Amino acid sequence: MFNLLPFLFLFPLAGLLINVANGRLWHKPIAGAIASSAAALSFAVAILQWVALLHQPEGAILTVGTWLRVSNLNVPLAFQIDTLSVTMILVVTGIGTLIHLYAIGYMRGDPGVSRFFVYLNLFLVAMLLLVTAANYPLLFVGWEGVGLCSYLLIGFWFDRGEGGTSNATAGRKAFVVNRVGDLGLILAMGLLFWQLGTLTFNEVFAQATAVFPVGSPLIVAITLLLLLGAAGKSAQIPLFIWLPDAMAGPTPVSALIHAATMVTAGIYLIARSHVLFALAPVSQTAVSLIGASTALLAATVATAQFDIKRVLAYSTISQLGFMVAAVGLGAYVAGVFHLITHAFFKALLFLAAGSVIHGLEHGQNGHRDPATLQDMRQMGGLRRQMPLTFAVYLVGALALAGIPPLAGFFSKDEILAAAWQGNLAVYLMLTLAAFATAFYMGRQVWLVFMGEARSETAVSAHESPPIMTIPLVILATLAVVGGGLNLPGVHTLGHWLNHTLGEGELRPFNATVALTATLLALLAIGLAYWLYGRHPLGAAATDPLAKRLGAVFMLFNRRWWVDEAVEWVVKRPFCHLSTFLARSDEAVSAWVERQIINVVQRGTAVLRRTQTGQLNWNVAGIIVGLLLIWLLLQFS
Amino acid sequence: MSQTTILLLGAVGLLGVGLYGLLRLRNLIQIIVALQILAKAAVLALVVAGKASGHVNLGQSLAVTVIVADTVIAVVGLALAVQVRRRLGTLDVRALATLRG
Repeated sequence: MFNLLPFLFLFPLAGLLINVANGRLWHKPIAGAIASSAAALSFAVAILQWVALLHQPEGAILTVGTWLRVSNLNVPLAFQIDTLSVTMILVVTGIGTLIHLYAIGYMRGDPGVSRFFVYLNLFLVAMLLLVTAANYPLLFVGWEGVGLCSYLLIGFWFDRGEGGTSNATAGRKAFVVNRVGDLGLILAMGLLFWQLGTLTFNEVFAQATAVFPVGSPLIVAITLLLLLGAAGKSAQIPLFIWLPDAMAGPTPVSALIHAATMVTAGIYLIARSHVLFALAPVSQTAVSLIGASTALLAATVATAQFDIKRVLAYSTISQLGFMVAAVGLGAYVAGVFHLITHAFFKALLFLAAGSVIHGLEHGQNGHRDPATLQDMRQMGGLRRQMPLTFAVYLVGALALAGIPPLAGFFSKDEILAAAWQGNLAVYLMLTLAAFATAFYMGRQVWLVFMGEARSETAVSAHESPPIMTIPLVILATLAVVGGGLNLPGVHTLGHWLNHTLGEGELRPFNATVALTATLLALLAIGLAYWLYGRHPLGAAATDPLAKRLGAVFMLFNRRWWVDEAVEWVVKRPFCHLSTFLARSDEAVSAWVERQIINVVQRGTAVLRRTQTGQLNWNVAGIIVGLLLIWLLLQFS
Repeated sequence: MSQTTILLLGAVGLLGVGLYGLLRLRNLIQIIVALQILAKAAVLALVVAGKASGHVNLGQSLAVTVIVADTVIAVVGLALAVQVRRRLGTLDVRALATLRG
């Protein structure tokens, strides 16, 4: 059954080819149906792989052919089927199918709908390649592929946005920032090949323990470079600035790529390379500290945003920070567990936010300006117009806040318990971040759904069609029961993943940590109620948090001025340097050109004299030539 | 000094006269005459070389060929001269130059 794995890619590939033809030739409104069936078939293949793996948990490697063979570099086209990769493909195809379905409703009527689903299917192919590759170069192909799709989909509405170009700029920003991370991954691959002569996962991991002593500078360098790669893709400090801007894409894209799947590639990379990280404790500490500080920073920013999707974007960065911190602490199971539950509830939240935006946009007083549409200050009271969306949003928010017994509680608790054992600084930062998480979700729910409508648009909003709400309900169910995957004491997921990750520690339930986290979450929700619930925000009123926090709120609202800092410290000097280099290059090449022209012109001025056009001169030339040839023959 | 050497020196002399004429003369008709002298130098050299090497027939047949070619040169040259005279009103070859080097 492992031989069926290629169909995982072939279905979306076929879907995208049909949709390319559809978009060019037929223009039938079937793009969404085709793409969704392709995703669903892919999901079926993923389930088959899972069933096969139940009987043979050690997995298999499926080699399809040779891709690269240069000297002693041999990169086969091989796929690794094990518990980790199958977990990932189940999440990617499962969530992917639901989001495809939802997108049929969300994108209905858009002129570029075929193009949209082509990109979406292409994304599935690339993401599946990323998580099933059996060596680093093949993983890198998927890695770049998802980056490309992310770029294409962020800029999907490339003619919209501020000034007509800001969506395209956001796409470019994502692409450029990701290049920095990719550089790390490429360099890490280069070092690995230099030292080990292979890039296949199993061989690398088998040899690494023998070649590198624990903590040797090389392995630290390799793992830190891998971390740089992961930080780029998974939006960690210092490369997280692209993700909030990525919200310019359509909301299903934000849900699929920028919340549930692509951004978790960095966590997957670290979990996959866990053998290397185990050899470099310094890098592990760096990973967990970066994860924890990202979690805290992004959570504080999320408390002071007004754009409904921007809150979720920073929340995603923050939750990715939790996962990165977990894998840095060696708690790979906890990291992957949180990855799965987060995929459930964050996809749910994004899609529900999309449903809100869709409901506002298509209401009687709807309009197309996303800045106003997504501003939570313009919403309020939507629980009446959109009861189903409200219900699932509430489920997602509670799951994210970590209220038992929803999915987020179990996975977040495992990470916090691991941090409690491993590193106190990380634990404190994560706990604070968890508190902020519960607060900003409470704030969002009250601002969007409670109180009274604060704009005409909000009054005329209506519930979304079933094609959009059914995936929401399924995701909400998953967000409720998702914790059952890895219940404390049972550890289904833990046992399952340990086939791949080695005999990891199955952490017992830590009641103190769980109780603290839950109490803090409840406290945060209470605080949110006290600020936003007691006296619902009126139209055009200031945020009560802004009144109380003042400058600190400004700091959070302006995102700690990180974007501005990057602008001034990195972008501007770089642009100035480029301009300078371009100008000097121009000057130098202009000078060289001038010199060449001068030499040629002077030479021709001399030679021109001989071209008189006089018959006698020509004869003289012939005679001199003959004499020269004769002399040449004499002396040769 | 053998007969062959004298005749060959005569051919070289004719060649020299022809080349000098080509370099020195300005009148197109005179230039054609100089060309004819050049060709006659070649004819003489061929006949002499044929005799000296024992291939008398070969030398003479080549000489006849050169005479034919030579006639063509003269005809074409004179026809050009007529055209030049008609168009430019002169036979001076300096008037033919259009380059301003």
